[in-house]
Amino acid sequence: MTTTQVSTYGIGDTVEDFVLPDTDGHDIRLSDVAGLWTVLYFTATWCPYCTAEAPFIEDEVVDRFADRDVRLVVIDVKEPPEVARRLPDRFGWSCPFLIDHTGELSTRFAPQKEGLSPEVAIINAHVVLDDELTIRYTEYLNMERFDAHVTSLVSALDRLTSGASDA
Amino acid sequence: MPEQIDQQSGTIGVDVSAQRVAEDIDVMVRLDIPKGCHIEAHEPADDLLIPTVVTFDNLETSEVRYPEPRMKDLGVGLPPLRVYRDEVLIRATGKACSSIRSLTGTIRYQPCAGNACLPPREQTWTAPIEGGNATKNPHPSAV
Repeated sequence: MTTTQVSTYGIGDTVEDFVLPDTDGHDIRLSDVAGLWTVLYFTATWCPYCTAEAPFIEDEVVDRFADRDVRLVVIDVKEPPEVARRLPDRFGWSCPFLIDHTGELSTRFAPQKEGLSPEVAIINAHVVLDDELTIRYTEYLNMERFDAHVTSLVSALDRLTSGASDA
Repeated sequence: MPEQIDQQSGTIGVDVSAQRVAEDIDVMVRLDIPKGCHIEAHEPADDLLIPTVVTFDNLETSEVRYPEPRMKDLGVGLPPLRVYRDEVLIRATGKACSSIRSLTGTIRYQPCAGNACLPPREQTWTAPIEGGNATKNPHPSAV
């Protein structure tokens, strides 16, 4: 099997601004919906861990940190719009919900995990960006330590947005 | 049975046999799911999850029987998943044109390996029809 090598983002990298469509086909530019802090959340309908987290993530990220301008941008990976839209319809998200139908953009955020394709490794990932779209925190699905209430993400956001060191 | 699912392709073992019995064709679809892996059952625990479904291109089915699922609790606050593991037998009965010598179809499923949920997959299959007397040349004028 041929593997295409692409440069991937890591902590400290500044993300190139991007445009993806929402469920209605409207192009949304990241910088237009980003806040002082922005959490990119990569998901797919078929992932049960995503489904477990879905009822809580907007409350835990956006509502909890409302006074610190933390935004949530959900990116559905490699599903057609008619399938992807079942997530915001089901969970009532009001945050931007973007569709990366080809998975091309999402793979740039994927961790290197042996035996896993980037489009799989990125599912259920959280990536925190600052106001310059620089990556300040990442976490990827760990089935053994999974927490539907995204406790570790909340801790990281609290640390980052309060001005504490993120080292 | 393979020990590990191919996480790049997510493929499982699919073996289909078909037997002509009088006017009907009985079909058995055997899935070999690698150790430590599972696929969602025909009736998953959540309607967002992807059911295992066998479809037939050239068999008019009167019945498709899926096995009872096993339960898998992820421990993440969701109802237990309804899954298939190990060897799974799906049986079907139907009618096909007497001239055909093999069945073809597709199975769609969504696998999970030990440390990853994998995207839905489709695999096509072909099975020769055993037994009976298929008509080799039903339309001699066309030969």
